[in-house]
Amino acid sequence: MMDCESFKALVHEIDRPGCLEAGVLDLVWGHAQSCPRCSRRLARARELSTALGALAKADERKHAPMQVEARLLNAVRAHRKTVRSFRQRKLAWWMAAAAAVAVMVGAGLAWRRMSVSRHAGGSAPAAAAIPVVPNPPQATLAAPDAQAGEVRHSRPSTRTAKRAARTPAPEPVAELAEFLPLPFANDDSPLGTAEVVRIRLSESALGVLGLPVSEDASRQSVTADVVIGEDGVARAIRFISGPVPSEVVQQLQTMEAENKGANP
Amino acid sequence: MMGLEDQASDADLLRDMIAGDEQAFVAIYRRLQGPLYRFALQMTGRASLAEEIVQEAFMTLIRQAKSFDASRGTLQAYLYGICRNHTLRCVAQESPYVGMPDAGWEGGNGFLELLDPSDPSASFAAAEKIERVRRAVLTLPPSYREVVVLCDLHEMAYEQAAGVLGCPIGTVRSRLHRARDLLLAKLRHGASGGMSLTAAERAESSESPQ
Repeated sequence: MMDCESFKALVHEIDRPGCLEAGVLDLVWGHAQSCPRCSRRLARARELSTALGALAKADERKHAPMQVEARLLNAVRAHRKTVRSFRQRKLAWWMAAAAAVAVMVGAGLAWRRMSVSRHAGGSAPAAAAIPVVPNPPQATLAAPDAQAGEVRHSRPSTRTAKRAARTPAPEPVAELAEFLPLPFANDDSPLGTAEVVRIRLSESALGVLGLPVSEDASRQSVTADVVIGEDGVARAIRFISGPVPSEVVQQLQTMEAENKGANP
Repeated sequence: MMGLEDQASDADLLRDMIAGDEQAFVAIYRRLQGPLYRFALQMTGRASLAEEIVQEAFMTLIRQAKSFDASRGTLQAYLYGICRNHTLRCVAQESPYVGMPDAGWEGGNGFLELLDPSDPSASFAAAEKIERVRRAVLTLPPSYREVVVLCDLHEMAYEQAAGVLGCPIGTVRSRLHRARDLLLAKLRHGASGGMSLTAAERAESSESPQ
């Protein structure tokens, strides 16, 4: 049996196809026939459905004005044009990037071929081919312990100029006035346009350059000129000032002598 | 004779439209603009707003056609959803004025069209009744109005309506039941007093629909 409350909850779904199962519908119809109040409720719900159906029918021919379609078509065309120009710009960018890469690769290959042919023709020893840099740029080692070997070019400024004026002139090291090739430098590779960079490094940082360092390496700094090949590898060193350990000097001289003996 | 556009599915047309086929867009528009326009019109009661809403919905489709995901529903449901969002925004902005249809209803595209010249008095009564129902629908809170429009005027199944509204089917059923009760009450109390929003309805209308 169905009560009035349950009927009330279902009254708007009675005529809606597929909403209520057959068994429930039978109960609903049975209750509507036996309860005059719910029968009137059902009649009102049906009347509302009819009225809403009439409203839907009255509106069924309504549609957006024609000018909306025209405006949208213009928008479609404008959008397509925008998308096309965006794609063209993107394509042009990629083509430019590809061309730039191709030029760079080509230049690199040409440079390599030229340097190989120059090397094959007999080049002077690396250190001898170094162009003289009248005023080598000042460089300092950023942190003596943590960043040993990392060279940072300092931008010349009035402050550094004043500081340079205040600091005493570096003590010249007469017996090491010429460049000594570094142990790990590859003499076979072309030097190209080398640069001489003046650096200040802690004595302990000499180890990074492949030189022997005593365990009691002090924190005193050493000023040196380093020859850096075009490939970015340091080739030779010349100590300018500072307490250079004697074993460093000895090893460099020994190695140079050995190199000369091996390649007369 | 049916054209190719008439036979193609919405998804196929949309794919062609994305590929740059202007005629595919026209086919989609002509197929779907009617129900969307009627939805916006029945929700706002204003032809000018409905026109704007339909245009905005299709502009969104032009700009973001690729964001349509066929696995989440039909293109029609997707556009209904966009229309609904625009409509609710408009209704919220113009809520103090919603309730009376604009002059467009009374013109050549509205009330007078319902009159049958062969039986003017009967058709006038029927047309008047339809306009009363329309006004009653427009005075419903938006969250109730939209279920009546979708389920009763657009004859959508609960499942479809739930897809458009983004809410569970149970919510659609309960809202429709409540909306129809409200409509019956409004129509019983007449066109003048019963059509205005009661305090309780105003409170309900301020609820954000799911």
